[in-house]
Amino acid sequence: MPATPQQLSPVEEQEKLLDEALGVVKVQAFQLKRCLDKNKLMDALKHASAMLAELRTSLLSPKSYYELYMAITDELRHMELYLLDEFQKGRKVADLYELVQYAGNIVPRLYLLITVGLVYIKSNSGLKRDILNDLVEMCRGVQHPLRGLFLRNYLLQCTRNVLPDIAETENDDGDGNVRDSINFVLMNFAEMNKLWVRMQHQGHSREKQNREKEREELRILVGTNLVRLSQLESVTMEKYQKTVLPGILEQVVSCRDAIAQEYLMECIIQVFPDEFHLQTLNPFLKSCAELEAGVNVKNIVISLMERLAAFSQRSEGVGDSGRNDQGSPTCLPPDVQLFEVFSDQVASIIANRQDLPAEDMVSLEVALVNLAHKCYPDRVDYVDKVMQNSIEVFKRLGLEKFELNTLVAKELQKLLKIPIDNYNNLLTVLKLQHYAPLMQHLDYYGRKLLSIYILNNALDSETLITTQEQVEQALNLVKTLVSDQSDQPKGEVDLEELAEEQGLLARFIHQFKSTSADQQYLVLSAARKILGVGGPLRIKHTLPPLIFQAYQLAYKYKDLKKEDDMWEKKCQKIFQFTHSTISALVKAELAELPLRLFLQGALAINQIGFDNHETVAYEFLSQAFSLYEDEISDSKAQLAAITLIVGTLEQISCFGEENAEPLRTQCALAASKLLKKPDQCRGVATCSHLFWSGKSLASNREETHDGKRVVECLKKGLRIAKQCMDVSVQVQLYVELLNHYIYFYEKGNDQISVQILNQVIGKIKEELPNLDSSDETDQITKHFNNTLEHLRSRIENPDSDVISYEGLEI
Amino acid sequence: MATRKKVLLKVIILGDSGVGKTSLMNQYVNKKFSNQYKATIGADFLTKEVIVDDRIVTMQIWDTAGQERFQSLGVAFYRGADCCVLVFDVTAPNTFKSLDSWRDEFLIQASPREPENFPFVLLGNKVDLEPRAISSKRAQQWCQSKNGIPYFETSAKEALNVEQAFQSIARNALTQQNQTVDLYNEFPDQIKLTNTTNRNSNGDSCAC
Amino acid sequence: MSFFGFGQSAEIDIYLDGQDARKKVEVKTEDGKKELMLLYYDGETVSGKVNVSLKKAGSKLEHQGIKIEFIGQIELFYDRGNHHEFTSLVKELARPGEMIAHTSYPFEFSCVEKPFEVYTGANVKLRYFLRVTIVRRLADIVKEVDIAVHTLSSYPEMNNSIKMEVGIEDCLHIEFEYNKSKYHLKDVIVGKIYFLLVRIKIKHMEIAIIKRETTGTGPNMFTENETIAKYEIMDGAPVRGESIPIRVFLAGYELTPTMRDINKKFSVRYFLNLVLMDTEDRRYFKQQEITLWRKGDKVRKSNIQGQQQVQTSEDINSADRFPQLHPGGTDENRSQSSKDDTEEQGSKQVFTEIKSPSGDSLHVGDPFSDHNPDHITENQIQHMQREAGDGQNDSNNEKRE
Repeated sequence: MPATPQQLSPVEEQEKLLDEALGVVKVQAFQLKRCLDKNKLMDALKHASAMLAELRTSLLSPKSYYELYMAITDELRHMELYLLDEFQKGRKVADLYELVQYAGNIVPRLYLLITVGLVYIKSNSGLKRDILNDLVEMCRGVQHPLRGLFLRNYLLQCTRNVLPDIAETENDDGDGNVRDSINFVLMNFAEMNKLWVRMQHQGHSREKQNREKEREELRILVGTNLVRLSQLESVTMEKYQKTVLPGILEQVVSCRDAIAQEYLMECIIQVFPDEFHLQTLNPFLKSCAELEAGVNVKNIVISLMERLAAFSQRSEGVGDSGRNDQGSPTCLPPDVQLFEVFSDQVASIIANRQDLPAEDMVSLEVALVNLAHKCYPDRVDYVDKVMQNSIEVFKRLGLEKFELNTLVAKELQKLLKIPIDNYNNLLTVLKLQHYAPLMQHLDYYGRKLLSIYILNNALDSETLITTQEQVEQALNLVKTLVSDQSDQPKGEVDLEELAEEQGLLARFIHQFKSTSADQQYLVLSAARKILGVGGPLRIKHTLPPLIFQAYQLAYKYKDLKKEDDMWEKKCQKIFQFTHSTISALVKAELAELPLRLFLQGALAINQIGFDNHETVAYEFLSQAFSLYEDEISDSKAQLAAITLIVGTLEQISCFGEENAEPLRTQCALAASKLLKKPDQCRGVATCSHLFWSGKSLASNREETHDGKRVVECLKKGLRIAKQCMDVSVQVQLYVELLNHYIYFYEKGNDQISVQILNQVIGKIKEELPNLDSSDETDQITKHFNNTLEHLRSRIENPDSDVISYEGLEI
Repeated sequence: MATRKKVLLKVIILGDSGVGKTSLMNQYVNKKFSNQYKATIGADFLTKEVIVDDRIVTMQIWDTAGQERFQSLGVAFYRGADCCVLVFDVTAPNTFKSLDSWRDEFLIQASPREPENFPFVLLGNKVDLEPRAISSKRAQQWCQSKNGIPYFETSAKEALNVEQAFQSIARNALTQQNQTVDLYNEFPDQIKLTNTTNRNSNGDSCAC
Repeated sequence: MSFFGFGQSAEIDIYLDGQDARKKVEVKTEDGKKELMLLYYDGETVSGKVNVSLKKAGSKLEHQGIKIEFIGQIELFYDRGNHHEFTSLVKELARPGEMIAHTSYPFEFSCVEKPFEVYTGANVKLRYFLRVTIVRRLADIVKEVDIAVHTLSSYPEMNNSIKMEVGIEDCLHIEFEYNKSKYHLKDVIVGKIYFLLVRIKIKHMEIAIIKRETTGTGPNMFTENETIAKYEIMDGAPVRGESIPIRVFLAGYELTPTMRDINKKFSVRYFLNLVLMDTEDRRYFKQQEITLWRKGDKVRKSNIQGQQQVQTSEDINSADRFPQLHPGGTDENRSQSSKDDTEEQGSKQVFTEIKSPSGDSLHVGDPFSDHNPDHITENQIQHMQREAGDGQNDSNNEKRE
């Protein structure tokens, strides 16, 4: 029964073929070693040849073929070792080199020839030159790209240790010198490159993709030639300049194959030392200009720049090299104008490559900036020049704005981020005159993103902005965050996002710090001018930090009062500044924020105490009051506002009685006029403190301790509480009032007696059991019990003679 | 025993780009060092004869590219290795962090018979440089966690410990090869040249 | 007595002078085996002793005379009855009489002319032998001993290289060069193939050494082609401008000197056949005759290095030979090679060279036209042969031919 053969996938097919081949290799290799052990050279060669015949296959992919090649050449090395040993023992195998050439098939024959040739060279170095020439010549017989490349790679691997590596002048006999090695490798390189390039043109065009993939895989074999050249120690700078590099470049340019050119140029950059590159920039870059249109020259030039940049940094790290007068690292030869050379090169690539996409142009500039930064960190002008070049290129090409997420925009972002990341100092970035104009080529979103990046960097590096001018420049840079832009998209604003951005900006504003106070005032004024046009949504975030900065400045002037006789005037000016700034917020239909800022201002004024400060403080407080009255309508907000006002007033001691009394009364009145009863109750209770701990000039800035007015407030509170319909709320308010009573009782208010306390407690105890059980009730009960607990502990541990809880009924 | 079989040891050096793999090999084989940096692409070997326990063995040392993009054909050369040398730069923490992935990659690709017993040797190179980022202790702890890999601190530049390290590498590789001799058992007509009873006692002969 | 004498018999043994020291070579016999024989050259004296020993001691041997002959003879297999003797020398060793005891007769053929080399081919055999005959009334007692003869040549005075541009129009133009036209048997063929135009997908290229043996005349003429060696010299497809080296060592193959019209009976000639195979298994080939000659060892005596080479080369002949001296390491190859042989035989009559009518036009616009211009003007461009692997080749070129 014939079984239907299972269809194998290409991968399985490869594995199967490879396994079969490796199986043959294993068997033949075993026989080979046995024959060698028994000194049967002829038989050994027979098995070696059979093993090598597996390399004649056309069925394997490059990677599979490589595996097979590795397995086989591993085995050949055993034979090489044996032959070498025999030769050294003096065994006459003089004709071996001829003998292996009887192999009828060329691939096994040449592998054997190379193996034997190597042994020959090792045992008689006088034959070196001739044999090397012969081998590299005979390999021409294999014109099949894959097989030829591997064969020549074997040649290259085998000859690694025997390539003559002595100066040309030293030796001109059969042993050869470095000249022979260079010729040998260059020849092999040219042949391999030809084979590799040829692959591109063989086979069907629909397999192009696969072919290019295979070529990419095989490239390493071609590149190894260059590695070999770089390993020759007798290749001096001069030799590299005059022979090696021109030889390679000629091949690279003349092969006219984009894949080969791109890879080989990259290879040159990687395998030869930086010191050589520095001396051969011009010929190398000149060749770059001669490459095929399809070659990504950008990558090559960038790669070289990156390598040299890294080199200059590495050499710095070694320590013994410093910097010379021009600020360039001493590892760079003085006659090499690295930046200029590359700058010109980049310019010419951009000018000559019509098809170069804009993003690639920018990538080139990116690499140039990196180079400038790493090799010449002090030369800000270099970086600026690149920015300028970029602007000019865009201008020439008529490119205005790049939309976010386009490749160009991404590259441009990269370019613009380099100075930020490298300097970590916004002030240095500000020195780049062409930075901001270049940034204008990003669209609105791009600029905003970059602005955020700039701010984050400034915050992380804690860069302080010290002058008016810097403020203007910095805020100009991030102006997408500061004010509306002409290219800003219309429509809904994401408030959350805006808050986040403006939060950053606000934090940044806190870093506006001059060393001198006067300067600081100018800085703040400048900022105020710019930020003021941000619109209601922005100034809400950006002005408060300015105001706080201004208050701080006022405190600073207070500290400076001995040195600066103008300090009081200046403080007045500052508070005028803040007053008008807060008013701007009021105009933006904000209420609570300006109210708080006025109160904060009043507190500051109270503490600084400059000439005429009472009036100014009164003005600030009255502004707060009018905001309270005119702008705040929500009852909860009203309670919160009045509580704040009361709290502020309680702290302020600079008022004479004629100002203090109306303010207190106004507070109490406002509290009692609150909409909701519980709010009224709480507001009035809060006001009680004004009459106890509040200070004024009348009380000599001491606490007022007007017990009567306190009790009046609290009584009013009780009355209001009684009016509450909800018993639960009523009891809650009673408990709160009880606490107020206890507070003042303990503070020594003689208008409060134990009886009053008993009454309140009694009232609570009366009502509490009637409450429905609920979470609220639990909370009230707990609050009450805690209060009683406090009282109990006071009774048990009386800490003063003054206050006695005698007669308290708990 | 007439002639002892020729011994060829295959050693693979792995590690991140720039840790000094090529320099270590050059120092060991050619006694040379250069400050110039040349990237290795692909894989290449040098050979050196060494004496291990009075035996002359040929060590084939494979230097490899640390950057993956330079191994376009894959890593077929891992196969048949007798010892794997892992290298990191004691001043560059990242190169130490990569050691695990190098080791794993090697074990997957080379697929040795007993992965848990395959000999590795760890070299912490560039000890001549400051500042040091990876302490000797930390490296040793890593080695402990990997079944007791021998650890050497080397400087290819100053030829520090290089000879000793490779001596240990050769010894470990030889032990490994002796243990895999039974590969030949797959062939029925095999003639054993070595005394097989000794084989097990070789197992712990590596003292390093 | 004569009654008993009738039963007497004798054994003849021919001893050649210096036979222990003389060089022996292998000579192929008709059945394909090889036999070691003493080697003589033209003009050398062949001398020795004929020992006749009687089988029955004490009785006499009566004979009509004893003679020894030196014979050079050609035997054509289609006409086995007729042996053509080109040399026949006779020496009488004894007059008719009686032999009583073991007797020894010295003989000498001095400075014998041996114009040809021993040869055993498919249809012909050339041999030299000594024949001792004890003539008797009823049945002669005969003993024959073969010797080997090699003909040595001196260096040819003219030995031009073979250089030629050949091709199939608009398809394949190559130029090949073999360094000599005359090679001695241990020589190396060195040469190169230069590709001027490649429009076919070549798979590989090989050089075959073909031996052509022609026997007889007229209706009885037979030609036998034998591929002595197949040697791959190129793997894969070259592009124009490639130059492929050729190096073939001859010492390892079983070759004889070229023999032309030996005694008007037969010829053995050698050809190098350059064969290109394309990916569709079409074969393109060009045959070129080379002359093989045997070089005397003595000439080299002065050169120690050279002698060594010769000796080692001899070793190769006798050694357990390298597997791929003859092509076909794998089964696939083997079957293919036998197929090739039959093809070659089938196409033997089209081996002639045809002058290209468009020889000059080849160079028009050809970037390689400056390559070695001297010989291009001298040499004609000649057509290669193309064979269809699939029988579908009916191109214009073929029709014109």
